[in-house]
Order: sequence, then C-alpha cells, then structure tokens
Amino acid sequence: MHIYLPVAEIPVNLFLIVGLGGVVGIMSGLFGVGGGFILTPLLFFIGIPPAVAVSTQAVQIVASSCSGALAHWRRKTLDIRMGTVLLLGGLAGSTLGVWLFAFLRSLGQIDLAVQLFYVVFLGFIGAMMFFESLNALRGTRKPRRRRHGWGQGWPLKMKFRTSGLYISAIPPLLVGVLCGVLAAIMGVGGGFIMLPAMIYLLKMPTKVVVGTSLFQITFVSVFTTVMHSATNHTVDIVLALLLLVGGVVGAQIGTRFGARLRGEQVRILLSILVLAVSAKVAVDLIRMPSEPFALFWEATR
Amino acid sequence: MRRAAALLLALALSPVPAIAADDAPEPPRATFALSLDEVEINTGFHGAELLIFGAPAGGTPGDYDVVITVTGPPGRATLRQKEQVAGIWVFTGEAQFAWMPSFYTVASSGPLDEIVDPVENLRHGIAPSTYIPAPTGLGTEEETQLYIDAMHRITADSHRITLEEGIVELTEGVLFEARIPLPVSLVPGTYDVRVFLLKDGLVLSRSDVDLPVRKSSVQRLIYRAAQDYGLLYGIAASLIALLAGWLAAVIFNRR
Repeated sequence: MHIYLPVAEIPVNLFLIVGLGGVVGIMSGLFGVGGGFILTPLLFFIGIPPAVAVSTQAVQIVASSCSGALAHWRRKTLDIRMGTVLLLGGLAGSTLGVWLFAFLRSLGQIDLAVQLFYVVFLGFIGAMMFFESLNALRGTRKPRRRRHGWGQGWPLKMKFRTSGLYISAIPPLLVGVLCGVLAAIMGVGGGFIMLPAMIYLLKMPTKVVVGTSLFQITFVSVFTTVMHSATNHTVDIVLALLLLVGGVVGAQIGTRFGARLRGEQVRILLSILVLAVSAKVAVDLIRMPSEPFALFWEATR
Repeated sequence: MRRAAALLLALALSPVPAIAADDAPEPPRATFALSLDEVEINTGFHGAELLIFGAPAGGTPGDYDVVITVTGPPGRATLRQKEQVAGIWVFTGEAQFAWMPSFYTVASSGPLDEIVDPVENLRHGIAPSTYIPAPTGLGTEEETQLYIDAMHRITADSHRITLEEGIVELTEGVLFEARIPLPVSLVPGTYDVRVFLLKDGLVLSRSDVDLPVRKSSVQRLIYRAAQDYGLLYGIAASLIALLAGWLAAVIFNRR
C-alpha cells in the first residue's frame, strides 16, 4: 500500500516506513540513542530526498526519545539536572552546527562533508566502545578509576544526585555542544556520541546514562525540527507520522529489553551497529558509483 | 470513460463525408479524446495511465502514422559528475541545461526514424533528443558530449524523457489508441498533449490539448503550510511528536 508524501513529493510503502520506524524505535529504547544515525542513511536509501530525510527524522526522534525518556523517568534512571546542563550545551552546539552546515553547503560539498563525518565519528566511537566493552565482558580490563572523570577540580561545581557525581558543569556543557554540532550536520540526535562521553568522560553510572541521554535528545530534536522547518521547509509531517507510529511502540519494547541486559552487553551491541553503519558509508565513498552523474531539476517560475 | 464512449459512438455514427478527390483536400486533422480531464496527485497517487484515442476528422481510412507527445512544465536542469579524488568519489564538475521540461514522452505507431522525416522532426521537435539542449559551463567538446550522453541515459532511466515506439495502435487505418504511462515523479503544472498525424514521413496536422496536473487539496494544504508557515508547522510537528511519545509511554505503563 502506497501513500504520497506531500513535502517529499514521492510515494512510499506504508508498511515499510512504519516498520522502519519500529526497528529504529527498538534501538532507541534499547541503547538510549535517538537512532538518527541509522534512520537517516536508511531514508536516503529508500529514495527520500536528503534534505527531507535529515529534517524529518528529527520529528521521529522527538517522539521515540520522549517515549523512552518517560519510561526511564518512571524507573528513576534519568538525571534531570545533568540532562538540563547537557541540553543547554546541545542548543548552543546545534545553532553552531546549523551555521557550519550552511557554510559547507555554500562550498558545494555538503554531501561529502556529511559522509566523512559519518565515517570518522561513527568509526572512531564504534571502535572505542567495542574494545572497551569487550574487555569489560571478559573481565580483563584494568580496574577503572571511578569518580575521577573530567571536571573534578574545575570551577562551577554542581551536585548531580541521581548520577552520584559532584563535578563541574563545564565538561557536560562541552559534551552537549559537541553533540549539538554533530546532530545538526549529520542529521542525528547525537546519542551515539553522548553515551560514550557520559560513560568514559563524565563517569556517569551506565543505568542513568540512557535515560538522561534520551531526555537531552528529545529537546535538542524539538529545536532541530523547528529550525529545519522554519529555514528549509523540508519537514514532511506525513512521513514523520508514519515513522513515529512505529517508533514510539518500538521504543517501549526496546526499553523493556534493555532493562534485562547488562550495560556491557548493551554497549557492545550498539558499538557493532555503529561500526556497521560507518563501514557502509565508507564503502559507498570508495566504491565506484553505478552512475557517476546526478541530475538536479527545478521548475522555472 | 463515459466521454470516451460518447466520442466513439459519435465517430461511428458520423456519415463518411464524400471527398471531392479532384479538389485539393483539406489536410485531415485528428479528433481525439483523453481518458483524463486532469491528473490529481492525491494521497494514493503512484503514477497514472493516460488513454488517448481518436481518428482523423471524418474518419477517412488512409495510410496514416500517428505520434503522440506529452510535455511537462519547463525547468532548469543541472547535471553533476562524480570523479575519484584521493580514493573517494566526489562531485567535481557540473553543467547547466537551460531549458528542459520536467517530463517528456513520445508515443508512436512505428519506429520514429521510419515514420518521421528528419527535417519534420526538427521543425516540430518530436524526438527526445530535441528536448535535451546543449549544456553550458563546460570546456571541451568531448566533455560536452559526455554530459549529453549522460543526460540521455539518466532521463531515460528515471522515466523523465521516454520514447515508446509502437504503443500507438491503429485499427483499420482509422482509429488510433494509445495508453501512455505517466510516472509518479510528475510535477504539478500544465502538460501539453500533442497529436501528430503523419503520412510518408510528413506531418499532415498537429493538434494540442492541455492536461492539468494538480495536487489534491489535502496535499496542497500540507505543502503550502510547510512552505509559508515553516515556524508554526515545525512547532506543530514537534508537539504532535511529544504527544505521541507521551501517549505511548502512558499506554505501555498501564499494562
């Protein structure tokens, strides 16, 4: 069954899109990532125009992250205070990212820039997480120095009771800014980079990390949606609705599964997924395209 | 379809006019009808089929050939080329094609180069190649040819510019009929449907009719809202998403 999308101006298969939203929703609830890093390339793959895909996935991420964040909030595995600090950084970073996006677009190489960001950041984060969690699973890792993340001796110290941390607000702000920049350029929520940053840099407990990350992603994605809609007019509400029907249900299922898995298991699964997407984008860049030419058509008014 | 039936009936009942063979006869024009008054892009739209049928006025049997073309609204095309730089494929060059329709299709009763004289083809602009202008923004002649070839390939692959030889069926040398596929990528605008009646390669007559392609009111409303009220549209989209997320969380926690 096909449905014609009013903004993307192409028809899509209803069940394919709902199913896609569902799969991404499960990952969102399971790993505490918005799922944008996998949804955006998948939307490109099924023929959604890139500009529409990047801005519309933000709407789907709002829904699935919000659903997941609420589930974590009930379970008291959400650090609202930490989330708010990360969010403030995220909003600043997102604004900076949109500006950078416009600058790269004016150079005419935005597609290449986005692809390189995917390869470099997903590859780096994925490899790092993979080896760390593999060591943790084997139990061969050196004892980690808990409570000694960034920001011990920095100013602006804050108490994050849910995380059991008493650290400076500056490191979480910087993490938020970095995620915001990447979110705007790559068309993602930024969870895949925020999760390792929270675990390895801020030394937050793994249980709290997922809910807090979802909280931050929800509101950064609201901001991204509104900005994309106001400046690029490329949010397709029909596509978003189809995706989020699957997405919100999937997020709840994912959260339940996640509660039964150990933190290391969740991390190793996420790292494998991140590495797979990175490899796919890298192969696309290196392999000879079947058609080296691309046509862009616009109506004359 | 009722219109179609009425026309066929009218054609069948109209008395065959006595042709004064000695006088120079008026060149026969084609009388034809379309199965669609307009194409509406609604929520279920995934392409359409346009049925065209008709006959030379008066229904004179003869050794005619028929060519039908459908032309979409005009636009500007840019073709970009990828090349390998330091191991990765990146866009390195581009060329502009100043005037190119969004869509063009030619349906004919036989192979185009057999039924249309080359000069007539150029004069009336029939073959797909006449709709692919010379690109600008390129250096050498070989490069220009490379881009023209690529344009032919891409427009054919994406059903943007197509040639459907032999899909116009002629019955008893009088009635012609063609089913022309309209792809899902149609852009809204006024399309021009043109019927050529030919004999021995020469165009006897040419008739035009407009075919409007428009979006349904729901499709247009959403599109215009996204374009004209982007900020409000974005806020509304976010609120819907937050509501959906909250609803899912509530429903799943009750169970």
